[in-house]
Amino acid sequence: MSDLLTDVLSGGVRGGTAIMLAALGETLAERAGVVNLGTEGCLLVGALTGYAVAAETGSPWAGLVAGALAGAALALVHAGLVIWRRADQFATGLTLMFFGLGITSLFGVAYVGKAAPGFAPVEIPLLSDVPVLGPVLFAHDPVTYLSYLVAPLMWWWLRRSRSGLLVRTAGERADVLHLHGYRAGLIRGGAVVAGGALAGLGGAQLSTAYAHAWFEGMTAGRGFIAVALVIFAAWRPLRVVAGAYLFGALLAVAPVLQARGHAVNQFAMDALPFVITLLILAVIGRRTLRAAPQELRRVFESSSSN
Amino acid sequence: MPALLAVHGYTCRFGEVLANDAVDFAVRAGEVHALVGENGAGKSTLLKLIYGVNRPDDGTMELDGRPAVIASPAQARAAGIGMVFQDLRLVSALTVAENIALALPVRPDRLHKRIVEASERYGLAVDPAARVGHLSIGERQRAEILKVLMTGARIVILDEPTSVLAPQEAAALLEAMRGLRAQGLGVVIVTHKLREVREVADRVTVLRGGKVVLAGVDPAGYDDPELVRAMVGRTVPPLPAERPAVPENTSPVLRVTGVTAHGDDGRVALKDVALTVLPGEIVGVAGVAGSGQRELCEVALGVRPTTAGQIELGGRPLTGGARGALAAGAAAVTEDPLTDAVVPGMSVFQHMALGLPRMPRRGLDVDWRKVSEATENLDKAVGLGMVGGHRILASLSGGNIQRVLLTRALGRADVRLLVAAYPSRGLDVATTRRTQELLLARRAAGAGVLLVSEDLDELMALSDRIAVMYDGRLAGIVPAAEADRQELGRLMLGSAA
Repeated sequence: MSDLLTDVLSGGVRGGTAIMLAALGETLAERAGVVNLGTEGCLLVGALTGYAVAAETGSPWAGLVAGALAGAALALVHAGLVIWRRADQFATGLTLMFFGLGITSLFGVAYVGKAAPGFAPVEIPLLSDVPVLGPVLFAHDPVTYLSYLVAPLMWWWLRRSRSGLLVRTAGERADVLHLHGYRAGLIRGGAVVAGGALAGLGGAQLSTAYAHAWFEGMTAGRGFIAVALVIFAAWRPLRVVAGAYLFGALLAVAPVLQARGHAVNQFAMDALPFVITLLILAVIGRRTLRAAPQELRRVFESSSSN
Repeated sequence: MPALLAVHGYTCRFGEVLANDAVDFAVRAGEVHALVGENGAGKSTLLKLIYGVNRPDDGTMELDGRPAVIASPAQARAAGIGMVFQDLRLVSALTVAENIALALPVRPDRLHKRIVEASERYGLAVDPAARVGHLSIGERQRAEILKVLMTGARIVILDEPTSVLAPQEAAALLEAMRGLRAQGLGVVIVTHKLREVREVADRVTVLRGGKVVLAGVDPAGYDDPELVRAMVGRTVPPLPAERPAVPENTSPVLRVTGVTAHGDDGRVALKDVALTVLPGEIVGVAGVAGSGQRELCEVALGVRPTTAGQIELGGRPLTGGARGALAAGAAAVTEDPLTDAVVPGMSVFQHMALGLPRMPRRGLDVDWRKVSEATENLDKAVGLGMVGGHRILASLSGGNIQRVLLTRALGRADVRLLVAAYPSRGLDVATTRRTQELLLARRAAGAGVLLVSEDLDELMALSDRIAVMYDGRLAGIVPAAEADRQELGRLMLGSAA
C-alpha cells in the first residue's frame, strides 16, 4: 500500500511538473494583469518543439531551450494582440489554444512514434534512499529537479525585487505605473512572454522527460488545469506547487493502478482532474477571489458588462 | 526672495468655456496658500496647468524667479512640484514602502529606514511595512504626502485633502501642513471649507468663473460672509432655523433591524445595523468613506441583498427588490450617479420613466406623453433648472446629471422615504442650497429622509438625528442639536466614548 502511495506521489511530482511550470507562467502573466487562456497552446508547442529539436540535434537540453522559446513565441502573439491591439483576452487566448493544437498536429505528424533522446531519471545519492520522500522527490529527471527552483525564485523575485514590484503594480494599478513614467504595456508584455516560456518549458519536460514521446494533443488539458490552479492558489507561486503536484498525482493514479494489473476505466480517470478542477472552482470563496490582482478584476468586469 | 512658483496670466480654454482667465498665482517658501472657489471655478484647471497635465493657452511661469515651462507631470516632479490628488494614487495591494519605491529608483526593502526618518522629520506617522489597503484614509494620505516629499518636492499641492477625513484626522493633517511650512516648503491647499482657510492658511486666493477674485490676501482681513461672497458672487442666506418638530408616536417609514450585508468585494460591509427613520425626520449618516454608508442606502432601497435582519418600508417588510421599494414610496439620490443611476445612452425622459413607481403605459408601449407631463411637473416642483427631456445623459455635465437625479427623487409628492447620498456633490453653492431646501421641504411634507454626507456641517444643519457608522456598524446615534464635532469624530474613528 505504501508502495502504491509512493508511486502515485512520485508520478505526481514528475507528471505535475508540466502543470506547475505552466501554472507559474500563468501566475506571472496574471500578476501583471493579463489572462492567457492560451497556456494549453504554449504547453503543446513547447512539447512538440522540444521533442523535435531533441530528435534533430540529439540534445535534449537544446530541446528544452527550444521548447521554452516556442512557448514564448506563442505568448508573444497573445501579448501583441491583447496589449497593443486591445483584443479580447479570452477570445484571443482560446483561439491561440486551438492554434497551438492545430499547428502541432500539422507539424508533429513526422515525430509521432519517432524516438528522440530524452532525460532519464537521475537518483540523487543518499537523498533518494530516504523512505517515501526519497523516491517521491529525488528520483526524477534533471528538468524536474530544475523546476524545484522556479517557484521559490519567482516568489522571492515578485516580493523583493524592483522589477517584481513593477510587475505586481502592472497587475494592480496600471495608471499608477504610468504616473511614475513606466510603460505598463511593456511590463505586461514581458511578463506574458516569460510566462509563455515557462509553459513551453513545461511542455518540453512533458515530451522529453515524462512521456518520452510526442503525440497529438498530449498535454490533455494540463494547460487549463494550470489556469484554474492559479486561481486556486490565490496567485501565489508557492501554493501553485502544492496544487500542481496534487493534480499530477490524480493523473498518475490510473497508470499506477494499470501497471499493477487493476482494471481501471481510463475515461473516468482522465475526467477526474477536471471534475476536481470544477469542484475547486465551485468552492473557491470570495476570500480567494479578493486576492485577485485588481487589473484582472477590471478585465472580468469590463468583459461581463460589454 | 522670489516665490518658489509663480504663474502670470494663465489662460485656458476648453471649447467655448474659459476655464482659467488670466490667472495669477504664486507660492512662497514657508507658507500655506489656500486656493478656494466653487466647483467649476477653475481650481482643478489651474492645478492641471501647474502640474503639466494640460498646457495653458496663454501665460508664463516662473520657478524661483526664473522663467520655466512645464509640459508634463514628470517635468513638474523634476522641478520639485508635488501633487497629492484627491483620489490617492496608491496601490492598495502594495505596502507603503513598495508604493514609495515606485516613485524612487530603489528596492522597496531598502527604503524602510528612510521612510521612518522622513515620517519623523515631517510629522507624518506611517508604518512603511503596512499594506496600503489596510490603512485608514488618513494614513493613506500621509503615505502619499511622504511619497511626494521623498521624491524631492519643494511645493506640495493638496487637492481637497480633508473632504474624506474625520475631524480629528483633518486636524492632524492641518498640523502636518504647518510642519511642512516650518520646514520651508511651499504648501497649497485646495478647499472650500472656510474653517480650514482660517486655521492653516497664510494667504488665500479665491477663484470664481475662471478669474481671480481675491489674489493672495491674508484671510484675517476678511470675515466669512465676505469670503463666501467672493466665492459665490452674492450672499447666501442661511437655512431656515425654524422647522416643524418631528411628529411623535408615528410608525417609522424605514425600520432596519439587525441587518447584515456583504459589500461588492465580499467582505461583510454592514454588521447588525438597526436604525429607524420617522416620517418628517431627517436622519443624517456620518462616517469615514467606506464605513458601510453605501451598503446601508442600498439595502434600504432593496438593491443589495441582506444576509440577516429585516427591513420595513412604511410598516411592511420590503419585498420585490428595487421595484418593491419604489412601489413602497422610496426614492433615491445615489452615491455614485454615473455608475449607480445613469444609463448614459438613455434620455432624460427614459430615466424619469424608470424612476416612476408605476410606468405609465399605452398598450404595450410606455405612454411617453404622460412621462413627459410627469417630467415637466417634477421640474416645476423642484426648480433646479433641469435640461431638456430628449437629451441623452452621456451628453450632460456632471452637475446637470445630478440635477436630473435630484429632480426625479425630490419632485415626487408621494415619496415616503428619501435616501439621499451626497446630494450636493459636484453642485455649486446656489444649487446646493436649493437642494437642501428641497430636502427640508420633503421633511415638512412628512417624508422620512436618510441623508448621507461627508460634510459634517451639512449633516448638523439638516439632520434631526445623526447616525455615525464605523466599519459597517452603527457606532452611535446622536440628536443633531446635541451633536459635537469632536464627539462625532471619535465615533467616526471607532474610538468609543
